[in-house]
Amino acid sequence: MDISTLLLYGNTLALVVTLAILARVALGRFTAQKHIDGYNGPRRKLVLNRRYALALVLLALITTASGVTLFQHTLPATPSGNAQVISSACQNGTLNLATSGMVTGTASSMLFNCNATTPAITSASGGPSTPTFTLPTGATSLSLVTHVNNAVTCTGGSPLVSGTTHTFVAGDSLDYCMTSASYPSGGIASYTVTWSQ
Amino acid sequence: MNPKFAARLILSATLAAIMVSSAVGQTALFSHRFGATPQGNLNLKVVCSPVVTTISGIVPVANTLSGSLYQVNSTGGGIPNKRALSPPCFITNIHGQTISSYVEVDNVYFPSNATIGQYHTEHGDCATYSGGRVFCDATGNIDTVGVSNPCNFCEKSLHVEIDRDWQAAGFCGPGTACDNVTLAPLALAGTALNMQGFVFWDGTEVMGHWELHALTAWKTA
Repeated sequence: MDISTLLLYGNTLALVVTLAILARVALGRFTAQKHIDGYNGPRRKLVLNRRYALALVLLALITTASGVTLFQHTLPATPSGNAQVISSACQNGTLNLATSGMVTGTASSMLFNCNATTPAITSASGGPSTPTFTLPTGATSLSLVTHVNNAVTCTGGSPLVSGTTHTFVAGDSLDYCMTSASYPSGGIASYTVTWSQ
Repeated sequence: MNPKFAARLILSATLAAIMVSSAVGQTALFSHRFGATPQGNLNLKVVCSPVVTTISGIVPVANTLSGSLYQVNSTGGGIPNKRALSPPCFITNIHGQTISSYVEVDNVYFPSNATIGQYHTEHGDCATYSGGRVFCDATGNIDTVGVSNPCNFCEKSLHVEIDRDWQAAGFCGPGTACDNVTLAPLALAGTALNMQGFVFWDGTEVMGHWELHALTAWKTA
């Protein structure tokens, strides 16, 4: 319960108590007979019980406190959130190995995309983003290359270094290219690349 | 644990987390999972990646087309043309599944006590190529090491053939991954081998059978 709610309850209580007292006064329950010289008729005088008086004073203080405005703070509108530099359409983040026929013991390049017509990474706005990964045994390097639909193009590109920012250009449409200096007979183990900004 | 100590510990950990996150200032966007890459291919002329399987994985029932993962229709299985130099890496089996037609079977041997399935040059299956060169298929039946199978196709043997067209093209033969000459003594000795090749159902013979045809590579296990 916040302070404004408490004050509201206080005000309401004060109003109720005041109304109750006024009602009882109207009904004569707070009156007392007092004879004054030269006057024999009944005289009404409001007699307030001490407890009622104290309660009213307290409630008045509360009401007063709630009503005093010291100053106002204006909170400006917050700025727009940073746009996400890159995105991926790969289902569950799983990449597709587009290359096959890697020959044991020879230098090999392997292209990874979402599928033949969907790049692994796209960038609408461009900007920096940082990959984090650990290459498994048998893998020599990892880079980003331009995606070409239905093609296995795994040349050139920008090498990735784990923990080092890579700057994307607006409109980038990219796949991964992993190389192996000597392809192991049992293949290369799975691993994960996490992007952050 | 002392409640005061626990409270201090929690407070310290929270403050540390806040400090670290402030210092790093990075938000994880997404992760990409690189799946394990396949077994290495042993033949430079092949552009497919082999899937490791077993003889039983190809031949669940001896001399029977149906029941095999590699059956593609009521009469055929495996790749369409056993002598193709660039056979398809994948086939669609009778269940509609896309599977690799290129496989590797490990730890296999040529049983020396086989009656007709011993490794040999099949002189009845030869052809003449450019320059008058003659090449013949080199064939035999293999079993998994530890399985004794002297009666050839009566059990789960897998037939293998180093194809004559592949030899003529230089894809197989001496000095290649599917050297038919150096294989002979190893076959005779019953040496354990790993083999790669394309799965094919040969239904032309009286006793239909599954083959690795073409056998594209072998090495000692």
